Amino acid sequence: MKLLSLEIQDFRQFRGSQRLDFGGDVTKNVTLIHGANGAGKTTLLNAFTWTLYNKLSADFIYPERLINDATWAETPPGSKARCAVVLEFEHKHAYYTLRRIAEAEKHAATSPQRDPKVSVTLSMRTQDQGSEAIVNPNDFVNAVLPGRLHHFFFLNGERFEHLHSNEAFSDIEQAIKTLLGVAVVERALSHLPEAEKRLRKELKDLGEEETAAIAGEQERERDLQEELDRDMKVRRREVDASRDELAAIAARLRDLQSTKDYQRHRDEATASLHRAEASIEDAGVRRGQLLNDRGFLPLINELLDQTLATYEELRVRKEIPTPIKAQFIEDLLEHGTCICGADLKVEGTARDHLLEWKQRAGLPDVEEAWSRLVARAKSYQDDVDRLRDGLDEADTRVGAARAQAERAKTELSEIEHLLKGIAAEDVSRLEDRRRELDVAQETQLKELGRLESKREASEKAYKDAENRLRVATIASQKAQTARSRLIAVEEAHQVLRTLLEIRTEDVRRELDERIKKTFQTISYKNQVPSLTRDFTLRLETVVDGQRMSVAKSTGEGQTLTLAFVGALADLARERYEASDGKPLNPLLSTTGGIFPLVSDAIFGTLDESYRREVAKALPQLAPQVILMVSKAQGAGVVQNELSPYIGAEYVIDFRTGKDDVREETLQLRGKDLPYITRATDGSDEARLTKVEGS
Amino acid sequence: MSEASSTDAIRELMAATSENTKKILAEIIKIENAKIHEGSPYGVHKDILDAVKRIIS
Repeated sequence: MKLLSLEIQDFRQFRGSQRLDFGGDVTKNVTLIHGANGAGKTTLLNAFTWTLYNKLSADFIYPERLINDATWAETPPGSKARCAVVLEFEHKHAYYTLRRIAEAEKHAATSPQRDPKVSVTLSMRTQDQGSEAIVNPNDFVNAVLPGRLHHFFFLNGERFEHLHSNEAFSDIEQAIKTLLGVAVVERALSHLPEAEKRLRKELKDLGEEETAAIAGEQERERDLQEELDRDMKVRRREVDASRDELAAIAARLRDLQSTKDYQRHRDEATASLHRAEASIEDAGVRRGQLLNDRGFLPLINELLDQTLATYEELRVRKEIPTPIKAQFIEDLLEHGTCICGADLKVEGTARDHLLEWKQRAGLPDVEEAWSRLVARAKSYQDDVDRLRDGLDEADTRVGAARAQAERAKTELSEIEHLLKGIAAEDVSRLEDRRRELDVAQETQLKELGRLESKREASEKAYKDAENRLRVATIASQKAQTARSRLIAVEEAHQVLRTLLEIRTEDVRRELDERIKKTFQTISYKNQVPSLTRDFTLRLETVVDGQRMSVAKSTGEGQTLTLAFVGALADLARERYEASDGKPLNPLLSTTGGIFPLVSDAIFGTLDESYRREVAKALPQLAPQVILMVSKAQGAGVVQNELSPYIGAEYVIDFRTGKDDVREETLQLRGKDLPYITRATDGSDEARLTKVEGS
Repeated sequence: MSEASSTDAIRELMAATSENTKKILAEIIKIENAKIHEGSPYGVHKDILDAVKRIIS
């Protein structure tokens, strides 16, 4: 989707018809709209989301008053007034006009706007410059840019915090999947259990005892699994929420003058404890591997000794290896002459001696077997030594790690004790909450583990039942068909589940890599973002060699969200270009899309260094960037960084009815443009002025 | 898992899938694609059941 223009008609403070044409050039992809606080920047952002999704942001006050106040005031009683927003965009080389209208009837002179009737139309420009109506505009828009992503592509810079919360990311997980083409698979997965249930019922109703019983078992397991899945989701959210709150408390304790040193020690001790625990776990794994590979050796030690002793006896008796080989004697007998010259063709002493030697001569196979056995026995003896050394080493590591863990725990306990001694109310409240969360998190993790084991056992029971169903004796043809159908649908379910796991992990991994890359270009701090397996964004820092979650400041949260938006837009664009905009096999690939980034007050809460880096990164984050900024936000480093990329620039001239306001202008491209103007008629109004030369 | 190995994994998965199941999968995807564009999630399981019954009769 490429935004071409936005026309607003009597919408909020924009009176009459006003139009914005956006920059969408590859090199000049930024449209900058300057406006004073309250002039209409947030209104413009909401004009986009209202037209596209019929959505307004939470900070959009008096949402029922969409029609311009002056227009409404001038509307005679008994007449209707309306406002409209018309958005023109290009998608897959076709041009569209989306128009949303709100219309309300004014019953009396003083009636407020109430219950406006909202309608939407979408038309596509045809080759002969006519237009063709799109039947379902909302679905079309959602397919082009899913509504659940609008928080990310239509950003309110002053309200970023909810966008990197766990809840926000769980909500948009589905939208990301829609965008990247796994939604079809997910939808199929949500519909297949019902289809399976019906097929199972059909099989049960056919009345064959064994299959009916198995189908019943499967049904119970599926019901249990649904319940467990719901519970696990809740527990995972709880664990995430506890972890976030713990990170926020740690950040607060790092900031407070009276606790910052203690918290630093706590961070180090926690890192040390984690390292010790990891070391104990590693040693346990190593010990397990050793016992798995060589654990049997001590049990056969006696046997090895006996084997080597027997071989030694045979060797001493010169039976192994034998001095004369049977083959040599056989050759002499065949030849008929001994090496001493005696005739062996005739019966006699020489021939008898030689036959006696043949009896004592070694058999090659036996000798070779002995030689292999002895070599193996000797190597086993070496392995016993290696096993002992390996186990000793693992024990030593465990011992050292346990001691390290104990020291870290003691230190943590001392720090806790010292923090308790700080009288400040804030500190004791934070510490109390931290302890509560620690205990809660432990319980949550145990519960999650219990649920996961139960889920695994249920899946195993279901599989067992499925295997029994495959081989169960079925008399009637009808029941056999019902069974075949059920098995095929179960198999399809499993294939789709595996497919979704593979695709989801693909998407997560790709986004994770891109988020890291983008974040590093914006942030100057030693922090690493990651997109977890459940699509939650985390920010971590390295303390003493260990990664630890950090609470996100406003600037960091904003940077993280921008990195995420950039990564998402970039990945969607790459996939779209790779597929040439045409749907590929839905089982194997995705189509992606081209998305703009529209933001209000994106620099509002950032300090100067972040503003510079964000301004530098923005033109690269999305193919088209539309920014609403105030005079203070858009000046200096922001203007410097963005100016090479500006394809269109506007100023909102805020005409205020207040007569005590100081008029202001904004100097752009060598001209003074009206920024705040006193209105002559006493009413507030906003007008868009295009900056010449942009 | 890299893009190439995930594609390989998907190919292997499909190679190990029975012909009837492949036909059912193709039908399911066709049905879901149609429904996603219609914006309607309702009654999809019935369409899936009909397709399964057509394929395994």
